[in-house]
Amino acid sequence: MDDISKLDTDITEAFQKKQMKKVCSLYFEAANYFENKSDIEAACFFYTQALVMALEENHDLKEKIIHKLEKYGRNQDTTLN
Amino acid sequence: MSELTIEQQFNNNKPIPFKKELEKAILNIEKANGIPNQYYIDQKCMDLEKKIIFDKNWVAIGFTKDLNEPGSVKPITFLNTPYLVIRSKEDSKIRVFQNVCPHRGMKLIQEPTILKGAIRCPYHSWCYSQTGKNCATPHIGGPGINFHKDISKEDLNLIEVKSFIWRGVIFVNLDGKAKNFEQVNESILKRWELFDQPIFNDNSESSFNLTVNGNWKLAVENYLEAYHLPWIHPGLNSYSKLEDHENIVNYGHYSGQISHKYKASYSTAKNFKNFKNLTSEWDSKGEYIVLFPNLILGAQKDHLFNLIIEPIATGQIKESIEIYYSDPEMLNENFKSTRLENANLWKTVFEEDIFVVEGMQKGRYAKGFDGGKFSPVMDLPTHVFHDWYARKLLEA
Ligand code: FES
Ligand SMILES: [Fe+2]
Repeated sequence: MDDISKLDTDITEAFQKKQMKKVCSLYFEAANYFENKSDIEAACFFYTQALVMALEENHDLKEKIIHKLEKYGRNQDTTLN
Repeated sequence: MSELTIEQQFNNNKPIPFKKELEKAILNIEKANGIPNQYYIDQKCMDLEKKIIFDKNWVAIGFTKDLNEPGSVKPITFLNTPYLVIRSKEDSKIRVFQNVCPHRGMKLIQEPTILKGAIRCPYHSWCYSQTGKNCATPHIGGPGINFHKDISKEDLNLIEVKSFIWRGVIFVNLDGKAKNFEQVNESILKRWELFDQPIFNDNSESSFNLTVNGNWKLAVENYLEAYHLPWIHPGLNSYSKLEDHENIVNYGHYSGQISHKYKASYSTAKNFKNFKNLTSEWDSKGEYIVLFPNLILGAQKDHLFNLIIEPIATGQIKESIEIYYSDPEMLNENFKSTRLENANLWKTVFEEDIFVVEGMQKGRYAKGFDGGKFSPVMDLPTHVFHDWYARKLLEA
């Protein structure tokens, strides 16, 4: 559970510094972490958090995140523009 | 003045208070009185004016020079309505939206910025593309579920406001029911079609703001007339005399002044490049027009200016002025002091006018003042404005 509490601190810190690109990749990491543990609920929560930051930052992870959320039936007809 | 108090005027189920007085503003100029006092000093009249004059017509709210880069977005609040103006990266077009999130009504954009991607609402992070389409509703169906069967994304787009760009000015029609800008303003567009060419603004020396403690209409009225030149602008009058002026009168549309003695001369001995393909009459001509309700315009061979009047309160306005040149070279360092001199010249003129605008505002508290009489010769452009304004109210 150590890596996840480290992630938690990092996310809070990045948020405070308004480093949204970093926030996005940290959420993505958190989502991966839970996905690997087969906790799909938690994973989709964090993919969603990563998604909005990716949209705002026009982050390269955007397509990957959408793909994951659609795969788990959490996003429908995602439009990007 | 009517015997009824302002409360009675609004209470008697009268849609338009001081109707009888307003009807006098649309009489022939010899018989006409100006718009009644209350329309300059009373908040209720201002609220009504917002609905009828500002929400239903094309109104100038800002300048495109703040949005040169694709992705740039700027919040503008005009008469309490929050707008966001954005140049989309997708098609480079400028659009205007109401600056509000369709979810719980949060103001979306707080500061001018350049967006990398979507607009993300700072409250619950719903996202919008730069063309205003909703592109994410995080957790709307519960944690990690980003849709809901009963909510259609199409209903969650930003509220677009009908807008038009002309001469670097962003116009909006808030109620969306006005005829197209080109239709409404056909005559001025035609009049100045020669100036339909690229214009350049330095964003520093050539931009300035003034705050004036007067009603917005008084700033319009004062700009429309040359009558006051010999006393209020003795300097201006020395090279642009009263007798060199001619009224521009176009009832129902716009009015202003022509100066037949425009001379561009600066102490730096430098001249700005003229706009291309102008006819010879423009060698010595300047035209000074108000596009109703709130845009003051100036056109001369070597520079243009736009002044947006923003009503802040019944007795307060903000004036934002931008001066434009014909060629990017005019924005170079070696023209800097000439640009500054030119801006200062106009600033002096507008500052000299503050005293009379504020003085007329104070005069509007005199109960015996009936809106005033007009000189049938000198005050025609002012009457054009009063006629336009009163008709808008009376026809509403
Ligand atoms: S108010 Fe904007 S997302 Fe809730
Ligand atoms: Fe003046």
